[in-house]
Amino acid sequence: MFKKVLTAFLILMLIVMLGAATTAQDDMETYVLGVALPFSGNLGTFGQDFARGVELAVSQVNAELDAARSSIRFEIASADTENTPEGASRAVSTVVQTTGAQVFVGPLTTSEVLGAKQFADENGVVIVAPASSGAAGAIPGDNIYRVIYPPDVFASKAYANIALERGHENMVVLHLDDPFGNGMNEGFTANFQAGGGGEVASFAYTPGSTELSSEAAAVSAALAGFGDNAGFFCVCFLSGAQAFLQVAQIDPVLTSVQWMGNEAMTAEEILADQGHAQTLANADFITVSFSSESTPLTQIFIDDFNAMFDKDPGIFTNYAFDAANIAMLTMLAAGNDGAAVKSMLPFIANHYIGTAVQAYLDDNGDQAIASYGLYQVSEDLSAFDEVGAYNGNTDTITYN
Amino acid sequence: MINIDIGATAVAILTLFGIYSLMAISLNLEYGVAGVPNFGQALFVSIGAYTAGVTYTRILPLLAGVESVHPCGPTMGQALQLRSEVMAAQPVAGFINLALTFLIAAVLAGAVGFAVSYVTLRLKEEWFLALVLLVGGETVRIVVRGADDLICSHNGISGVAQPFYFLGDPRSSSLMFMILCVTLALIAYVYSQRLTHSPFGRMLKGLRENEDVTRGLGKGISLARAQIMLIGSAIAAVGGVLFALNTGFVNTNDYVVTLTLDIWVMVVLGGIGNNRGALLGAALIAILDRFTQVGAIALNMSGSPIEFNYVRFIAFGLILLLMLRYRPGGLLPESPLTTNAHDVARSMLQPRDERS
Amino acid sequence: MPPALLTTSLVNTIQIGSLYALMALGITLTFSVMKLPNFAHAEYVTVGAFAALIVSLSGNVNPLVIMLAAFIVGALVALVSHIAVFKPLEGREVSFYTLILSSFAVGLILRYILFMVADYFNLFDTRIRISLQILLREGYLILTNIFFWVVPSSILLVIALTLLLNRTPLGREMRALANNPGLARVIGIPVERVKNYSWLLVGGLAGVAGALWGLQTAVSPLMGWVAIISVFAAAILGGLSSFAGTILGAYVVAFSENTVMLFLNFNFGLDLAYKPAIPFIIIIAVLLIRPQGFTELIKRAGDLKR
Repeated sequence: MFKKVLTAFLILMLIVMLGAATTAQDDMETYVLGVALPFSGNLGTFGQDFARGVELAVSQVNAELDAARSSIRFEIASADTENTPEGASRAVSTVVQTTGAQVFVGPLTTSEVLGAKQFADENGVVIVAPASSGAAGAIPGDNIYRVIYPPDVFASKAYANIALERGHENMVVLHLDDPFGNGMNEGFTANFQAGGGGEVASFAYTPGSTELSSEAAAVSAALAGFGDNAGFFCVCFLSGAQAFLQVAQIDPVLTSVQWMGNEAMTAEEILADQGHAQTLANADFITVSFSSESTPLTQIFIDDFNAMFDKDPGIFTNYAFDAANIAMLTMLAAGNDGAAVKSMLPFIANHYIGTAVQAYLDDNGDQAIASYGLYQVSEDLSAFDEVGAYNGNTDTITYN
Repeated sequence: MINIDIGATAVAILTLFGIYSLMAISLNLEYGVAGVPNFGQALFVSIGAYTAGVTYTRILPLLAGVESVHPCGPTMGQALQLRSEVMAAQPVAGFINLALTFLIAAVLAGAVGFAVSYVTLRLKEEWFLALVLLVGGETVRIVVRGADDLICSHNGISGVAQPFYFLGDPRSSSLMFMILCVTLALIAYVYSQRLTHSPFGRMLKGLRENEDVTRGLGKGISLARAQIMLIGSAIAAVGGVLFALNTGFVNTNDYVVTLTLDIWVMVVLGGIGNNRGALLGAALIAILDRFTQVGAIALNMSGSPIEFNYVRFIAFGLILLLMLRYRPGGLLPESPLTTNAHDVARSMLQPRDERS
Repeated sequence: MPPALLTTSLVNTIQIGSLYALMALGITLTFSVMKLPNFAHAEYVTVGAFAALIVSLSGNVNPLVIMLAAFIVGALVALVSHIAVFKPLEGREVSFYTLILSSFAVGLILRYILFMVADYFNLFDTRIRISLQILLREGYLILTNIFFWVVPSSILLVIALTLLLNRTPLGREMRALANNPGLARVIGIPVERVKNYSWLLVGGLAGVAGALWGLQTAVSPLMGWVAIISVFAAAILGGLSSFAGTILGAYVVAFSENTVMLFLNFNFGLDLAYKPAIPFIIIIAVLLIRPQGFTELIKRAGDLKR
């Protein structure tokens, strides 16, 4: 019985592969754009949304190529990183060995990116990571480009400046226990204290936690211990932010201080809950978000995304869209070849204007332009309004 | 466009086959032969990986005669660059370092396995040990994750390159690494075959089937179990070193319960108590993983609204369930262990016409 | 430890402990009656949460209707998994570990079906639409409407289950089955029917627990899987055989994760990131030192085997 099932399964696989192989049109040249994202695991939301961003970019570029009678078309080959470093390595190698892809969009987190690093470096495959920003990934000369999202050193400085400007003497930080959360916490603490701030009490929570009531209680007690003029800073992913807000919204201390938080907290899922939105509004919640609305392309992207998928793009989705565009433009210029793409990508990226801001890469292949928007909850609680801007390169905050 | 690179695919599958084989042989010795339900395989595998993270950052620079930098914190990038240069330029240092890694990992994991087996004596029911090992593995993971200096806590250590990195050409270096993995797996296989068919192995199987009888024969049960746990854990740790080298990155996120379950699935698929079954199970999982992933890529390319990366896991679960239901002994069920004396006696007892 | 922190953590202990109890009772019941340590129990919880979520999105629905929907869906999924997977295995006298592995496989399949559902209907990170209100504020004590849904529902369900086990023919048959399956069959207990009802009960309770769990966090395909170790720790504290022990165990686990963890954090600076290790340490300690859990302490109140 089992053998029959297994045989049937294997034959089915073979048919599928042959079928897919033969459908490619002969007179067309197909460039495969690899996608390695966490579809399963606790970042499934982001993985799916990022994949949609890439899909939109590919369909637009293909339409333009069609109109221009080019013989080149792009195709997506996507694999699941399972949100582990080893899974990311397997995903990238499988896509490369199955489709010959030379360029990837993804993975998402810094540890996944580092998991795929050895294979990419050795095999000359270029990885264009849309949202990895942890300090551990800042490595010069490798095949990893983190094109859109600037390293967290800028954002952590911006948050420290805001905290000092708001007159907070002491701060309490709740952060993810991963490279992103810890890096942000360390950067914030250093900058806050260098600027004359007092104590910072930090609490870590495990990624994937669905319930943060004891964390909220600890934050509340620390805030109460600091007395007046203390502020709160949340470095959380979306599900953690939701779990935290659910318990924090009734806490008398937490609802009486000012909050800051990373941009994952500006997702529409947060505003979907009236209580959560109201809590953020009452707390003067402010976020420093890289997705500034300063370019004319932002709204176009949102409209196109809506037209294609009948929903709003999630938070960060535009980074995947931009990363895919940079990857494809480089491939159009340099050809479907990893080494050529690697040498040309910084040039293309530096001349690309995306949905957020222009890209400009530093020696590590990371985004060097750091202009952020500052956002707060609007009065009718329906959206986040841009209230100011932060320029990381000059370290200045301006309010509208 | 599907355009399969058959050579590279074969090398990748065989590399995983070698690594998985070591893990499966280890579990087969522990559970299949000695009856210790080790649901903490990820722990022993991770000991190998963490050891690699430590030796590559502490011992490798010493062997290469370069000044070492602290692997974590602000000097992280610098330390990584140093490692890559050493691995590319000084292959001998790389190999000595790897040999030391294997040794330290095997000794460490063996010691832990030996100690753990004495825990068995304290437990009321056998499956409690399974649970203790399962959660024990996770506890160690959480502690290592929080330890700042060992493998840079949550950041992990990258640049744990495989030893043939110096060849430069990815095809030949991955081919050589594959040969290393498969060779080690075969050595482990031959060794465990010998062990299983030795009087010691037969005694262990007897122990597994009926503790009282074997005890009645006066064999030292706890010591025997401890010995097999020592050997099994050491093999798993060697597999863990290779597992880490294959990715080139050591991070606690990889050594979770799912890894343990995958190893169990290999042993159950292949056939519990049979070393050949362990090899077959490892091969099947390596192939199945790649095939389902390729299938998901191809089907997603066909433009269906269903996400086939999820279907992959469902298919995996279904195959396992079908297997457990229709072939609970695995594809290669355990054959009765016999000695030469048994064979001779049996042939003498059989009627003449059947023997020819 | 400041009084505000103590009060909040105790309230959390009660609220989370009640939910753990609801989930852990199902595990104890499955283990006693069906002789199966069911890791797929986590997914019955998640399935219930998704059922609750989908019903709640259809409009302004009474929480009771939401819980009923979660009960029905959870019960059906548990029954189907019994009929399709566990029952055929039972007849074959397979090893204990085959059962454990098959329960993991069932959980895997359910989990990824939920991933597909969440992906297809855009349900990732969506919350059950019941907003939080403060119903009681007395000094440091703050109780919400969710507290008043979760705690009484859990307690009522636990009481109902205990009555069912002790006062009804079905309960007596289930206990007989737990004690001695061979004898139960001989004295004419309709074993298969009793097992089917037990599975419906187990799945239904898990489903309701999922709905209530979903009220206080975001619904995700992994939510049950994340909680399952804490829940198993509670069941193991109950010796996997005693109802009262399991309930006490659930509150002990919740107390350790909340009050004890916060005490260690506040007074000794132990990092909160170590919180997930707490149920693990409890499990190891109980199994090594006192494998019978609380069963003897409680002197068989609500014990399945007596």
